[in-house]
Amino acid sequence: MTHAQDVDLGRFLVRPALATDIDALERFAIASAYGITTLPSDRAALLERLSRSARAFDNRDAATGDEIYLFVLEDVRGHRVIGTSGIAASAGLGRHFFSYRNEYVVHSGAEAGGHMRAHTLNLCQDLTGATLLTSFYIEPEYEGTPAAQLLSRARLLFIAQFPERFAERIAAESPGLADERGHCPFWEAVGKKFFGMDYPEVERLAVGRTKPFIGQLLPQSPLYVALLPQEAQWAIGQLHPVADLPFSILEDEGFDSDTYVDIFDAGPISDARVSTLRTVRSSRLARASIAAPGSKDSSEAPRTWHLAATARLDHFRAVIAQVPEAAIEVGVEIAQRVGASPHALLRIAPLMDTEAGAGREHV
Amino acid sequence: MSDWIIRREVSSTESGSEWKLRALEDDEERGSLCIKLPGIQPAARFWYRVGVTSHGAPEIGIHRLQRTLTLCSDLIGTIELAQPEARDVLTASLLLHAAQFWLGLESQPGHVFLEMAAFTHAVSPGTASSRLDARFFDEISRHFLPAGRSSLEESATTWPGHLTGLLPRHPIFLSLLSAELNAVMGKPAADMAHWVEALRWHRLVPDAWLNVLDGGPVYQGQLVDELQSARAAPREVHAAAASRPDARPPETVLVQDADGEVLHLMPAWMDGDRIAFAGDFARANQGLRRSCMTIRLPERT
Repeated sequence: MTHAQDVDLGRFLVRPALATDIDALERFAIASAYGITTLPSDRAALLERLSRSARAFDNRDAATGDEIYLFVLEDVRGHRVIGTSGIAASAGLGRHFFSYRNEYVVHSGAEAGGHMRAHTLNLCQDLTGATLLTSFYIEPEYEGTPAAQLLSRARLLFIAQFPERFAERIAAESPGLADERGHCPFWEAVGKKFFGMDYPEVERLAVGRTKPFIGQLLPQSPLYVALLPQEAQWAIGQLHPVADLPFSILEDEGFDSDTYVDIFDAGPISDARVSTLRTVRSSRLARASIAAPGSKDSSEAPRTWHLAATARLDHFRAVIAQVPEAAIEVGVEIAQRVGASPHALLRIAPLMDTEAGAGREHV
Repeated sequence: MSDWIIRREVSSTESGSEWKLRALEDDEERGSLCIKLPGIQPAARFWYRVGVTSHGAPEIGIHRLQRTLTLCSDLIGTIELAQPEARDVLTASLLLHAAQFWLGLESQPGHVFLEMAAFTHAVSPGTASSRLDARFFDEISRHFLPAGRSSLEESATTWPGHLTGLLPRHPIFLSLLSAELNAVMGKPAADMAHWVEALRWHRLVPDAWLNVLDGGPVYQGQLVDELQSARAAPREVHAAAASRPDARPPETVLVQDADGEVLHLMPAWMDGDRIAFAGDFARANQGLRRSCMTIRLPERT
């Protein structure tokens, strides 16, 4: 784990992804060949996603819900893109988004002399319409730094700032257990029996669990977990190691990962109410200081590490910065780093003490 | 020919009445069968019905049929044949004919079923197989019992009535179960071979149901033919020598004796409303009307 004081945090900036970031995104897609279905290793598909994202950021009219927002993390010292993350405004575009819900059916009877708690998986569309956090990838050398938090949580500041564009419910899929060859124990035991095809092929067809054929092929009745092969039972809710970092950030935010799992690999699907998330709850608006460039912030209040983001849709930027606790103004240097004009509003939230990089340093 | 009789003992139970049929060859018991006649309010019973669901997605050109097990009570109210014991297929068939005889004679419904113990693989040498040794019990049933195997007596042959509330209420997809279980599901225990053959002889077949405890097959069908000609009917008894009109070979006949609870298996010659026997039976019953039914038995194996 790398602490805030060990890294020059001023070098990290999250901004909307641009068409010119295509090479970096393609690099990430290849590097994350397994696990991030929303980051296809197909240049044309990536360009299409970048284009959709650009339209979403440019659209100042009422959102329709089919927007996706792609962000990149930039190391501004070297002008190098080192990570990406995204948001899909509405899972399944408000039509279909399939998942399995963990349920426990209690079988009992007055004369049964006991009861049985049977774990079942129920095909559901509970998360249809929920906002989805997607496409998280950060280059391995930055994984242990607070930059990972910035990349993930900047999305929540964005959502907190533009709530009308998103659902009150939010979710994030994490990849489940599978090996390098695409062998997935849960898929082999369950999905393959109904689809009759290999895992990579169904991933290509299913497009983010949104296709109606999923509901036509998978059983509508609950599956008894105890009757599945042991290997498949173990895989339910298990996380692929590549997703440890983004998953732990979501856990720290307050996401619940016990209710839903993916229909194909049984990886956990984390979900929450947006208003309950730590970043959203702890975020506040602060105004950029009008002090002259280069002048020091004169506040005597102890300063802690924060995430700070602009409040503009067409110019969203987020950085890590030191901000006096409970301040309603932030230093002009921060405003300059995010390209905000004097008096502009910034949304700030404290950096968390997390496995992903501690930020609780008073200076 | 040996002297065969089938003796019936009738008793009443809370859920109906019960007949115990015993087949004796020269006074030695060769097998038995219990016939359970449901009462007005039969007890709750469950089976798995093997069904098929169709899952199709024209959009991607996939259509698959899935076999399922669904809990049901379809056979409640049907006459049950139970506790089958027989040393050979002839005895088993004879007991089924006897059941057919009395059911037909007493105008009972002719549709019956019989739950067969399931095939089991791993039984230690020298020990009797238990229904709890069945792979089905291990992969399915035990997961719905609070204390697994110890919830049941070792001799359990069916799901205990007081635990019916624990049975799974949702369909079970067979494709999600192991290939090994799929291979043996619905197969009868090896020591039931005589009964399997006899049931087939009587056109009772394993159909759409399985025992909920061990997944053993449920044979069912119409034991008593709807046709009156295949039922027991009273005929006037005569001595064979007097009434035998020609050199026809005798038919195999079950004939009811005077007290009604014993059937004799004998060769006889039918002639309209008359039946001719050789030996003591004809002499003792000469001129009396006795219920008779011609039967056909499989080879003794």
